[in-house]
Amino acid sequence: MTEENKNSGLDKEEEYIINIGPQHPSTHGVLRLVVSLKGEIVKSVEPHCGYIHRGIEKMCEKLTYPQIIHLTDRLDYLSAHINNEAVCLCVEKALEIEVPERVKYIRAILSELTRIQSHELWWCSFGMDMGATTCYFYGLRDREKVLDIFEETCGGRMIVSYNTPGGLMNDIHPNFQKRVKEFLKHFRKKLPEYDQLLTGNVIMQERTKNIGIISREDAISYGVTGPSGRGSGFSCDVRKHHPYGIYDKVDFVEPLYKTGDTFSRYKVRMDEMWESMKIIEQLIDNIPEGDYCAKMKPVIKLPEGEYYQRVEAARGELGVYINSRGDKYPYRLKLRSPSLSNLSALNLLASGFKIADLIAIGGSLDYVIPDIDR
Amino acid sequence: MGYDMGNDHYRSCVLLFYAVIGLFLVYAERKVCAFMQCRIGPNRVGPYGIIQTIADLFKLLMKELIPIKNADKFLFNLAPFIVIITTFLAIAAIPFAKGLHAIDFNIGIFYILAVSSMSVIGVLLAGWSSNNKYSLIGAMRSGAQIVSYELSVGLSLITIIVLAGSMQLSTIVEAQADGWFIFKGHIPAIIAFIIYLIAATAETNRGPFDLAEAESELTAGYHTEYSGIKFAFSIWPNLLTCLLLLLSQPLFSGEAGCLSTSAAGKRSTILWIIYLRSSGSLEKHFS
Repeated sequence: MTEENKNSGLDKEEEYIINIGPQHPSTHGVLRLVVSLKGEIVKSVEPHCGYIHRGIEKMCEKLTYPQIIHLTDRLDYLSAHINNEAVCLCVEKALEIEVPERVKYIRAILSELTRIQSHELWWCSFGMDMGATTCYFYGLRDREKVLDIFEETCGGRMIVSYNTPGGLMNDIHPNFQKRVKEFLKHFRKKLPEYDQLLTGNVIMQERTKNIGIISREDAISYGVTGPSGRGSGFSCDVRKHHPYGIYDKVDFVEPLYKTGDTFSRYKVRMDEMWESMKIIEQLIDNIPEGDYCAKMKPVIKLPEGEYYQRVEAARGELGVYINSRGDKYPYRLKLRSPSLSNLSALNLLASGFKIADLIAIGGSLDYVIPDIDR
Repeated sequence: MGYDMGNDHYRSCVLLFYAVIGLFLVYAERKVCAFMQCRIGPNRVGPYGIIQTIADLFKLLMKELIPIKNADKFLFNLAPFIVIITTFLAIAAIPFAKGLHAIDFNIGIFYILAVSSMSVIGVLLAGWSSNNKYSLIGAMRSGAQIVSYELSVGLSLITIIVLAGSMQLSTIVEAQADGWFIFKGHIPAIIAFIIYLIAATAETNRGPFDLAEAESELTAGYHTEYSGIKFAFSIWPNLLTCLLLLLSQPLFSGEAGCLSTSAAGKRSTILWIIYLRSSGSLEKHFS
């Protein structure tokens, strides 16, 4: 595919290839997009990833299961807690351990807080990609409150590493419930402000409506999950279809839009922030007493076999596959990255639109490059 | 009431004023943007940060002028000068008060239109000679935008010429002694006014019309490859072109200019300045 593009760039006169290169203000990381243009219209986009490949899956083959948690934080760093939870759930499923109820509640609350702060950062950068630089300040101001909660309870702002196979590393801080309730009260007032600022803006709507349309069948076939898939009507929420933890007891709605354009992907994420707040409110007052960790052996050895666990990260469906040969290290750990599948649809989405639309589409897919490259 | 411009010293003072006004405009924009974005803006360099722009200017003057290897050296160096010289020439004819303008041609408006059209050449040259695909795309966008909005500006100004019967700016102002053109000319003048405001804002590459610069897509558009003072020469006309919007005051409202001493003149000045600053700052707020 690369050879074809190289030759066609030289032979055909109308093809004009630019690099929206690894260093660029709006690729959200180090991603190289080789864009073939005709005037302003994008004819094809070829993403070249791998600039931040750190060999996480290979490194995991030499680390014990509690040590792997610390690496998974750095995959999609905006859903750090959810990544941790994924590996923990896989290990717990393999060992057939039942974690205490308290752990499930706290994990769910922290996951939803993670989702909120991830969507807030997405909103910041989406506005900024379109030129509305003020969005960055408003979103980050509110995200700070979530990060303060994380810091107090988990010890780290973005890289939390709070989970461990069997439960949590430590109990929650006594202030946790109070702070979360304060944050919810504050955020409920701020979220309509975000709508006022960006959603109703005519320029933003013109730039996102009917841009980058992906049909439901294409979304299913490319594996576009998460909010990007839900914007096309593909109901793929892992919390609903394969519930884990406490999610089968919580009441929430999965926002689905039919159009499949950039604006509907935007709306899905805004709605998801409301839904996450609803989930937290149902859980925050009812955290049961109990242990914060189940009794585990000091050295965790998984029985031989293959285990797979999927969770709903902020970007889509994150899958963890562990192949164990009975050791304390996994024989093979594979991660199904949501951003990579979402990115694979970029060529389909952006062809035929202008460069400015390409940026808006990339922003709406909300990929985080470390997640693509692992 | 008016200023005596017979002396050449006064004329060069007016031109110097154009050079200095950029400093204040940048400072004002940074402060207003900052307040809209829940932050303070420059507040360290000098009281309330008023010397910030001067410090930035010194920094730009001291930066190395990086020559681009495969670029057309002559055109690369020429382009920013074309832009800034044409902007200076255009602004020289704008009246700031009765008699307070550097030149008073009898083809005033025609001259301004002609000279500001030449800035497109500078923009396109800058983009082409940078030997950079991004710059070329940005320059094409900017050139296309400026040229298309110039048509609208020209047509709306023709309304004023017809109503006044002359192209000389001082005559146009005097023709409005018994009523502003917006009121006297009724509907055509109001339409022309609105079109002029929007089209002139588009020409400045600010406001919602900054596709050419488009920081998030093309890094900096046609002035990506410029460093040091040449970069300033690309940014500065951006601000100075805003002053072309001040042209709307003598044309449409008949007060001699923003520094005029009459009370009605001061009122309309404040309106134009508010429009200028808010359209630029709001651009950062929305997209």
